[in-house]
Amino acid sequence: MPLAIYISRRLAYMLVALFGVSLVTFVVTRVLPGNPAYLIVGAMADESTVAAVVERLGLDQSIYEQYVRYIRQLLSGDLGDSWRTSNPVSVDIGARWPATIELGSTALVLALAWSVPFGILSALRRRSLSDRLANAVSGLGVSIPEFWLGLILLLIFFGTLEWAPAPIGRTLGEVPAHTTGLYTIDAILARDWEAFKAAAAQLILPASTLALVVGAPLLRVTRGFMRETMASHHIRSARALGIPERSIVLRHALPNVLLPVSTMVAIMYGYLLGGTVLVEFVFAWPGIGKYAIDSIAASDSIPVLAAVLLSAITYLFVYLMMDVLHFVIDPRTRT
Amino acid sequence: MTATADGQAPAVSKPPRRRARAAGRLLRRPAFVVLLLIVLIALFGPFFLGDPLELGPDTLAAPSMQNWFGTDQFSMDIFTRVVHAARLDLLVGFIAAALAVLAGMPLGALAAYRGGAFDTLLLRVSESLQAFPTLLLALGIVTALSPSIPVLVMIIALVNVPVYLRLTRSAVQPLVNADFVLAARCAGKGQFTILRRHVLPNVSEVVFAQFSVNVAWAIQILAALSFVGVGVKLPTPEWGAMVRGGADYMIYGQWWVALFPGLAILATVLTLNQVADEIRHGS
Repeated sequence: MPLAIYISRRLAYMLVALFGVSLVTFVVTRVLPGNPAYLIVGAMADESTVAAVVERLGLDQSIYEQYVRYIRQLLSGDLGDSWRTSNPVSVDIGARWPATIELGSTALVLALAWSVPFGILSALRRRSLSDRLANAVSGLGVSIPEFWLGLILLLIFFGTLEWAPAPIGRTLGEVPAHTTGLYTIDAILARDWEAFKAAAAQLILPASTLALVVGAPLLRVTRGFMRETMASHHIRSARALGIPERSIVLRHALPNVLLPVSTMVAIMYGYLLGGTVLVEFVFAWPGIGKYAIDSIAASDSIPVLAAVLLSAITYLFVYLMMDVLHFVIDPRTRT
Repeated sequence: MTATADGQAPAVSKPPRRRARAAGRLLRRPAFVVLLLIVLIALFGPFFLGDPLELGPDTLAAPSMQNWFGTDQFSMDIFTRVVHAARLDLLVGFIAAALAVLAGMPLGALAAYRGGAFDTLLLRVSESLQAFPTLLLALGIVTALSPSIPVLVMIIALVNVPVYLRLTRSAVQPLVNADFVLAARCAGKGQFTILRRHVLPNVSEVVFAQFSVNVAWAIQILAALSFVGVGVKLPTPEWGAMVRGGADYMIYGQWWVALFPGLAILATVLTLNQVADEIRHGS
């Protein structure tokens, strides 16, 4: 199957999924009991405001017409307004997404750095000390409440050792010149090493918390596939040919493992980019997740649902990119 | 069911002695024993302890012989509250996971068995639901409804249904054309009877392992929702809400307020996940 056909077919799937996703958020806002106009303007609003919202959303029309109107608004980039910040939600989210991207990407890099090598090592040496350690760490990582882990890290590295800065989000004395919105990258681009150090210091604890949580399933998947691969016929053949163990692992086994692991990586990255509510909340990190929480606290539901919708779309998009990448590098998917 | 005349082995349930032996085997699994212990503590612990809302003489007292886990900012005893909270957390986790199984397992089996448009539709719906980050989706729904415990249970169950649907579907699919299923079909059994009596018993192990994981997950979601302030509210004893209550004190040295309820979550979730591993690898 040529690439173009594959991509268009996957895009079609994604459109179906997007339809489902939009239906879910639509149902949540409109079909649930209660007048959605109050959800939008808050319970304190006077009657004329409510009437205006009813008019704008077409709440007096049929559900079907309401849905069409909702989709049309979404397509024109209108996610509604937040009455808490009195900005359009798209503006608010645009301002906060770089923080989430910076945190999520750093966390993913850290997670990959510890989990994949560790997973491979533990698969190669079954029942060894490192295998047992990997088992314990991944078991803990899967089970630990991430908000609590964040608090524990704060207790140790801020409260006790005083190595890390206070959990006050991304607050630099002087924000580096805005290029990407990722403070660490901007600081490097501006060759402002002081700012880089400050930005990295604020990033390290929340990113480590996430890296531990996200790394645990990655470790398990890596270990599982690595064990499977090492027991396969082509590895046995390679051994029989007398190929050194090192090259068997790196050149014969690893490529077969990294491919399925990358699917898991995509799932995790999609999750991280959609805003990690709990960790952003603990560290007051001003990303999408914290935006959603702050809006909930103010009973401002439009930004919450917009964040929900956007993170689902991000997830689907990252997943699509990974599928396309697989298609390009793995000939087996092309049948 | 009775034995047939031609001496064919009847499909009877396990005889009692084998059942007792199965129970004995369960007790030799460490995680299962720990889980049993946690459930017993949740059931009977509160009878031996005082009122979880009772105020003591000191606020934020460090752990001591009187207050094993210390006291919180309202001077309530944290040990008492952690034990009391086990009831709510386990109950919500269990009911939510059970509802999710009850909805997801039959739907998944039916989807695999019938195939076609029905299958495709259910699969697409669950994929759409799974594209949402669980916690954010739950948050979105909670904001639209006002949070109460039944609502929280329903939401946690809802976000878990696709998991069972897809799991059961993939477990049932290879069985759809198995000889014993075809035989049952030839015998003129209806599709629900076939699914219930012949197909689902074969996938129950996978589903039970997932159930244990799911109770754990449900507890994590409940705790997370309470932690961000949309789930259970203080002073109701609930682990996530208690961690939230102690979060601000963590960095000022009163670590015990948030530490112990968090440890309770970790211990319970870890145990449930281990039990799932034991179900998968054992027997």
